[in-house]
Amino acid sequence: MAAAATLLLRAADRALLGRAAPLPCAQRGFSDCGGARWAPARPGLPVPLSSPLAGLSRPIRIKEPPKRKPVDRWTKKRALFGVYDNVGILGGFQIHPKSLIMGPTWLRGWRGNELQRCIRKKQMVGDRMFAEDYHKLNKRIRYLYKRFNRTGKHR
Amino acid sequence: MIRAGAAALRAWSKARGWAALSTAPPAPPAAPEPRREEPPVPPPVPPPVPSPVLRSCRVPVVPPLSPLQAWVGSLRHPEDTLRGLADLHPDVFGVSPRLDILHTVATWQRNYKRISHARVRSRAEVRGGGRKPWRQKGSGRARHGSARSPLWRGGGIAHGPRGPTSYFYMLPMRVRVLGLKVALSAKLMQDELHLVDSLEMPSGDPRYLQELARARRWGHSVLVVDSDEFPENIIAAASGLKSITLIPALGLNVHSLLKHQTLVLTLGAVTFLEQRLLWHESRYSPLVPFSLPHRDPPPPPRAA
Repeated sequence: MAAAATLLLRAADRALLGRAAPLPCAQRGFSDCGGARWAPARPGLPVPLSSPLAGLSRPIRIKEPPKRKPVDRWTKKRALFGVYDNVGILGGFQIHPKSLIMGPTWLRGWRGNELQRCIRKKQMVGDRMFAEDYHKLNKRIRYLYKRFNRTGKHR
Repeated sequence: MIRAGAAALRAWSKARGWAALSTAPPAPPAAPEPRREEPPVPPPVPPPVPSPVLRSCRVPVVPPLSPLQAWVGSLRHPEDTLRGLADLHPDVFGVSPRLDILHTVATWQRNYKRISHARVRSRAEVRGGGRKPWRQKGSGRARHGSARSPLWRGGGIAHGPRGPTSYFYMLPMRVRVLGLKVALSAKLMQDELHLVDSLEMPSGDPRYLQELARARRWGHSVLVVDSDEFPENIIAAASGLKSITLIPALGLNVHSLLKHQTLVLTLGAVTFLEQRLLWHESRYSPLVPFSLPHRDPPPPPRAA
């Protein structure tokens, strides 16, 4: 309230006395006004006299932070997420939930570090890979084996 | 005099006209006409009240525990909420609220299916970079062996995400079972569990179901669970609504229970869940996988 009153008084002061005072940008709260200098406030401007943008010759563009795009929380996928995760417990153990995972064959219901994943991929899928990819996979296995088993603290 | 005039005007305005100003005593009221004889109307018979729906626990409740109770309603009318009473097993619907178990199981459900396909090329996989860019000494520039090392623009990434990664793991079976029990208990404790004898509806209009949910103050999301097949009306009604989901009792899980505000169970689903979830309290450890046929332990000898 007091700050708004002082701003109003200062703006009114300038308008009445017509002083060419240096623009107190720090007072107004932004670093540089983009070249717009103080000029007598024209009555046609829509900006109220109390706002920090009052009394400038050129309107300064104020950028707003980008708005978050609306996310639909009730799509089919989101509403039915997690259904059948307990199909083993509730269904007589005929299906294991790991058989419901969609993904590459060598990663369904299995977890490992990078070397283990590369070796498993070579075992399961290696004979039907492209030649260049198979060659790169072998190079990667060789490099990771040396890295894990010959360097560092844990060998 | 003005007051008398005002009163007289009021009497005039009551449509008695000049008779309002007369001072003669008012005429006696006319005698009522004799009524015609009508046949005696029998008193209205109220519609027959259906017998209450009572459900007791199939699995015996061992003392000192006693069964919890809940009202049984139906979906045939928005106000048909008190059709009967059902007993609920306290070891399924009355366990202590372990929020840490709910968190564990919900996190497991989110992560065990996750396969991240993020992958970047290392310096060995980026095209090119076999030749030494310039000689080792004398050119004045820094020494380099390959134009695709991680230091270079366009070079490989040293420690980036490598290939499809899986985050699969399994929680112990008893923890997952306890998670379901805690979630069901929480729903009952917070008055968000409603029992229904069957899912029959008078019409398959989504607006009827929405109106029913609003009249009964169910909240903005409802999870309807049944052990048998769903009737066509409720399938048609729920397919028109986004936040009312129908799932079979096999598909019950902690994430869906936490996502939807209200849970509607049929009595068949309650029996199914009690039987499946209580079996784990008295089973042997699996020396062989449970998918193979096994025998339950013999019942404990009764104390004489």
